[in-house]
Amino acid sequence: MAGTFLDARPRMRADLVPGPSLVRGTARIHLLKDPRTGRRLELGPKEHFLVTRLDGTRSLTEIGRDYAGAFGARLGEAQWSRLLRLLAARGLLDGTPLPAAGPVAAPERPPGGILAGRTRMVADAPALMDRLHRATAPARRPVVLAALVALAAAVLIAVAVQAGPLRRQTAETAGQPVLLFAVGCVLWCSLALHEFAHGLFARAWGGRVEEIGLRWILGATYLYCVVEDVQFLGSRARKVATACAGSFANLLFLVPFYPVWALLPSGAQARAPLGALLFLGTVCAVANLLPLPPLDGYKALGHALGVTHLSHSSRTFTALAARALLRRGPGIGAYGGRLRLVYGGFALLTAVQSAALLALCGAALRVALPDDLAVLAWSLPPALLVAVLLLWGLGRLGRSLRDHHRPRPDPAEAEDEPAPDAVGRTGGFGPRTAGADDEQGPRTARTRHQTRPRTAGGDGEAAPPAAEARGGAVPLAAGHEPEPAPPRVGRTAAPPERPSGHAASADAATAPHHPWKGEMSTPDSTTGTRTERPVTAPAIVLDGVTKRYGELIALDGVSLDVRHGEFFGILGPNGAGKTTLVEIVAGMREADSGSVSVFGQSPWPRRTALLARIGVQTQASAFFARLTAGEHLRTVAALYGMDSATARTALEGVGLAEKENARVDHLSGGQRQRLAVATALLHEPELIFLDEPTAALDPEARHELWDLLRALRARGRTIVYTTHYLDEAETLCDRVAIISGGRVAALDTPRNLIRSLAAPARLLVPADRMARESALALDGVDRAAVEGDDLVIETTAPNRVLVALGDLVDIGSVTVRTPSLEDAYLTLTGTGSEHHR
Amino acid sequence: MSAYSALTRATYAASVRDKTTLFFTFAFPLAFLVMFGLIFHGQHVEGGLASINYIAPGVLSWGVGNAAVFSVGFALMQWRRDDLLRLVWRTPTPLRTLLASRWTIALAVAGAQTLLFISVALLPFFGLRLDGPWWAALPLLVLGVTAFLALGLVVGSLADTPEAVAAIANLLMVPMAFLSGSFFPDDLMPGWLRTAAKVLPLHYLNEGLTDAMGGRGDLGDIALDCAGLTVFVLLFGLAATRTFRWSNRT
Repeated sequence: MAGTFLDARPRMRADLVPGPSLVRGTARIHLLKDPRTGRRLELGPKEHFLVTRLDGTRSLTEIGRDYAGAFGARLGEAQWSRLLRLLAARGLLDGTPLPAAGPVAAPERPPGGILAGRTRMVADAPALMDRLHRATAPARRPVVLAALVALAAAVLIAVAVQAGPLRRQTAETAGQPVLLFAVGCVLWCSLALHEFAHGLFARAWGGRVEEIGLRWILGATYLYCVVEDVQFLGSRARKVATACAGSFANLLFLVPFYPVWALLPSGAQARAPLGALLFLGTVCAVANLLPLPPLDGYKALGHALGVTHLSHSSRTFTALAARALLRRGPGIGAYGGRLRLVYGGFALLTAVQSAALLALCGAALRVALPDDLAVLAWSLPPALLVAVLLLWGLGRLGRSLRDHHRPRPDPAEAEDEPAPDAVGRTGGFGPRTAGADDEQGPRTARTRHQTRPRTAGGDGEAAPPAAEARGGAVPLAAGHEPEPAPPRVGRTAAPPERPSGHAASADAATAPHHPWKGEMSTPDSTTGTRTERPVTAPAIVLDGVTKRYGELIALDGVSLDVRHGEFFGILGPNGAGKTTLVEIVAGMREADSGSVSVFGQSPWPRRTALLARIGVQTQASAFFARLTAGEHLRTVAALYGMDSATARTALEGVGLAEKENARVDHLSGGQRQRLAVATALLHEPELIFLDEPTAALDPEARHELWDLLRALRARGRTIVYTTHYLDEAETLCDRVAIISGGRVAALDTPRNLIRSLAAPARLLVPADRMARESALALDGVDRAAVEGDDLVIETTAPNRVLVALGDLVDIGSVTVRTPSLEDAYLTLTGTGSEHHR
Repeated sequence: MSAYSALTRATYAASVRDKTTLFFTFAFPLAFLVMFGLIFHGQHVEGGLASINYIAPGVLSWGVGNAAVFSVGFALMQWRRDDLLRLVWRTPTPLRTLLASRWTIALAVAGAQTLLFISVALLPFFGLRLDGPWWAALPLLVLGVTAFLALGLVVGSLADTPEAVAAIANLLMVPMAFLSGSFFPDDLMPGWLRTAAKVLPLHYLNEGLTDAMGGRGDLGDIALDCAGLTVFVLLFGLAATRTFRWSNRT
């Protein structure tokens, strides 16, 4: 079956129109148009690679081989069937029917009000454009076109030469409202022609004019003309020409007026308004070619560079570069040299133009305003700009504050897109990731733009999302088949509480095997068959993690994993790298090499969604100074966006309720430890890191904390725990990793570690009851030595020796010391050799 | 309670409960003000205004700057030492919220200082009269507090112990106070020293406040001082972002 499937030779429909390859952000996208539905698709490089090869001559196996060669990843059957299903569902494969959904729904129109709105002026815009297209056929002859271009250029030059007098006449006209209004009306008509010119150029190269209408905003009205598929017009030159067509029409419109103006006698009344018309008309035409969004020049620039969303990408890039300058954020490594030039250059260009525009506004105001308000002229535009920016900033700040205040949704659903989807990584096509580097993910961008009608006569680039709604570019597969969220087993699948130490070793046996480095497992625990605990992906996976501080190697290739719901101890001498290990796993530090995965995600760089699932206690004094215990916890709760009741619960949870109003700096050592634990547990994390939480606790407080930790474990929390108290590790931990010199010296259940040592038991006999020689004479005694008041007998067969001893001394006076985790620890860390004489 | 208001509240509580800092923020400069006010009582600066018109803004500018640098410097050092910074880092609350709450409190402290010092100076005995555009002190104070707050962040990032914070901050602030004319009219200083003082942020705050409250200069002068302070805000802000560390451990 598998063979036949991969031998299939599916074919894409032949009438699909391939579009250009463009750059958006750092990603390359390929456009594809379905002429039947008018839908446009955006393909990432990998999808494009595959789709272009689905031509009916190649089998999936062959394409998969090519793909592996190009992208270094193999395509499984699952990925293939996923892609093919997707293509079939969209009716793109040869022989598949149109999608049942039919044509895309009409875009939502903003309700037309008095202040702003729009209305369709032409019932059948494509038909009208067809007629115009036929009517203008003579003008498209190269000779005529060249002549027209020459005329437009001539007007431009003539106006530039006569700029001085024309400007004076404009100023003169400005003082006469009636004349100014007349000039304005004529210019308005010129702008209507501008729109038609865009439409005609696009139509000539096969574009389709969707709609012609009238839009009004705050009393200003203008015609618009929506052109589909500008990106499919062919060469870049065509697209640039279409974008520039409007200004060209504006200039052509002025051609007849110039000779009239030039021929009128200097005293003629009509000279001033004509001059104003020429001057303002030319300024409009030229200004429209400035590369500033949303002007035509901006679109032309985008087409010329083959970049879409230039402004947005440039903004993203600039923000990244600025943050990189401040040593924040991921930097601009993802951008190639050309993209850096393009985006950086555009940002610079925009800044220069904005500054120039501001200066121009100032100059214009200076001319318009009386002399005693001259100061105002220069300060008003920047002041307005600052005010607008300030308002905008305040709005953003307000929004972010409000968002923080709002109770946060479940972290797993909140922002974690299912970790870099497995399909995407291994195969190459999951939800399209091309737009993922856009600051505002593709989805939000779409919904936000949807309400904004397209202004362009030229193309739909300014607002591609609107295009989607009416059958424009759709990211292939985005949002339609979401990856399933990773199962959240941490809390839902609470493992049963461990009844005894023996079960722990049994547990270990049922867990998936992992090739430990430095593991010291002994095979004697394989008898366990308990399977209640679901076998799940580990909560933490470390692979070859290395960290150096200068010369010092803190961690040297540490590999281990921690399972969900496990109580995991990390033991080791001071400076062994325990804290570094915890910090790296908790995302507070970056590993030099090796991989770290927590709940399937890399904890570095900072991910708030992941951090919300992790609780860390690193120090017993990480408190807000001079606050009370209650105030401290309430503040921390607010930092997590949680309410004060949470703080109260956490305080009660560690038995500090009566200390709520005590200052943190007046708490005893044990109370501080408990407050630190409460701080770490406040936001109900699934994974808890505790760094020596029982240090400085008296025995009673220690046992209380143990109870708390056991209760947490019973609720299915995963606990990673460093300690110096080996008895504690032996009692609490499911498994223990002993770290020494930055390496995992051993990793197993406490029992197995002790057993694996095969360390001798020590029998202590009062030294005055027995001579060393008689002890050594006993069968099974390995060593005997007098230590203080006791004769210490070491043996690996304690039972036999005990029986023999019973004949020689009062058995009641013999003390038996079986090996403990401490012995294992001392042996493994190499610090305890003197104890084993 | 939002993170911002919680942090502001925490900072406020911590500030009010810190009696030593309260003393150095309010009582200490006030003592200077009274002392200088008594010494130069009724005197005029040659070719200038009444002494109090220099003393009050001078002490105010120094008090405001000092309070901002020390409070933030100590707090940042302490927070990093106690690993509280990384506690904040692990929450969804961004650092700017923390800084915003600090800024709010610093502004409030500066406002309280201004009210206290100027009220005292306005007493008939000291005889300050707000003849100038005194309201222009507001933007000056905001900018001044921001600049010194940023400087405090730099100090707090460089220093790892309270002693180091005190040493660095004093090393910066004490000579600056003298050179900027906080303790005596800088009109009396030699010309080259006045020129040299132009590289000090306190100079602009002091000049501006003297112009605004003492009525020495006009709005143009004050605007220039604002511009000077803005430059320092940017400069120190950049330095603060570059020196900032989340943790003492490298």
